[in-house]
Amino acid sequence: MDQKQITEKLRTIIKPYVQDEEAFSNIQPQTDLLKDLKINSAHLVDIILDTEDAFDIEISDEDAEQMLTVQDAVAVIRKRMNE
Amino acid sequence: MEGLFIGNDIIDIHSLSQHPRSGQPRFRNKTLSKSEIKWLLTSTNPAFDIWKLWALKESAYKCYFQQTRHRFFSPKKFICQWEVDIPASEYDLAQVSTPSGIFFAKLYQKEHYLHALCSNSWEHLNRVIFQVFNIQSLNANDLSCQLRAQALLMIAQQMNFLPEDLTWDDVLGFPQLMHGGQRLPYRVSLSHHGVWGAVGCSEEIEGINTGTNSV
Repeated sequence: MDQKQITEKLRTIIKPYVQDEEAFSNIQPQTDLLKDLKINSAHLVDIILDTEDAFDIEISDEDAEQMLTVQDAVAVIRKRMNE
Repeated sequence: MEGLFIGNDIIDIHSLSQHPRSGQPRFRNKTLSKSEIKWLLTSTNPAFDIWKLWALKESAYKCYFQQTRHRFFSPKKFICQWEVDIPASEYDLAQVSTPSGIFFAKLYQKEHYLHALCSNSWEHLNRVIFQVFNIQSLNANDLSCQLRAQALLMIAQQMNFLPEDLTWDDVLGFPQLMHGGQRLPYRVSLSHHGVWGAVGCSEEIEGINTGTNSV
């Protein structure tokens, strides 16, 4: 799975938790999940769990610490998928 | 520990249905420390009581961020411990261990919401003024504007300013109050969830001890 496919799959995971639809329609790699998309921080836990299920990976606490932007999340997913 | 910092977090009890996983061990294991899980497993309603810990953690994170300006997501690094020996009827008291030290928190449980207030000093925590208000909007940006307008009004009234003289500044990544281009010596924390918004505010007063002072 290439970066584009990972990003697209991640987008579908994030979508139900987004509160700023306009920011979501203009999503970029540097888009911040909490600040830009206004995702509730508790839903960040849901996104981590959904990502684990969708990509069949385990996201460690250390990985989760830095999952603040779309590109952060993609980097974590790629790292775990390549293990 | 230099300076005084505050954080607050509100949780709309009626919006908790949006978090159906909160009773599941996987959710718990991503958010809680071992000691918190141990406490939660003694609860008769763990799916609800986890939100008490979450509110405390969030309020402590906001406090921590004011202090360090370090952003990260690690709820497990903010470890709550209830203060069982301190009598308090209106609220529960807790200490929250954070990467930058021990913070102190109050948790109010009302019919419709949970509200946590946190500071790096017990004495400072007791000086925090706060207000919870109902806000409703379908638009996230409008919600934020409403929250800030309500907060500014409350602070202006409490601190004897004209609301029109106060503005917000977010250059440090958290809201600060400005008056005539100067930052006011107040710490402010904003929060919203569901139909509730909350503001906490406290004056930075010289001479208040920080750290592990008594209640």
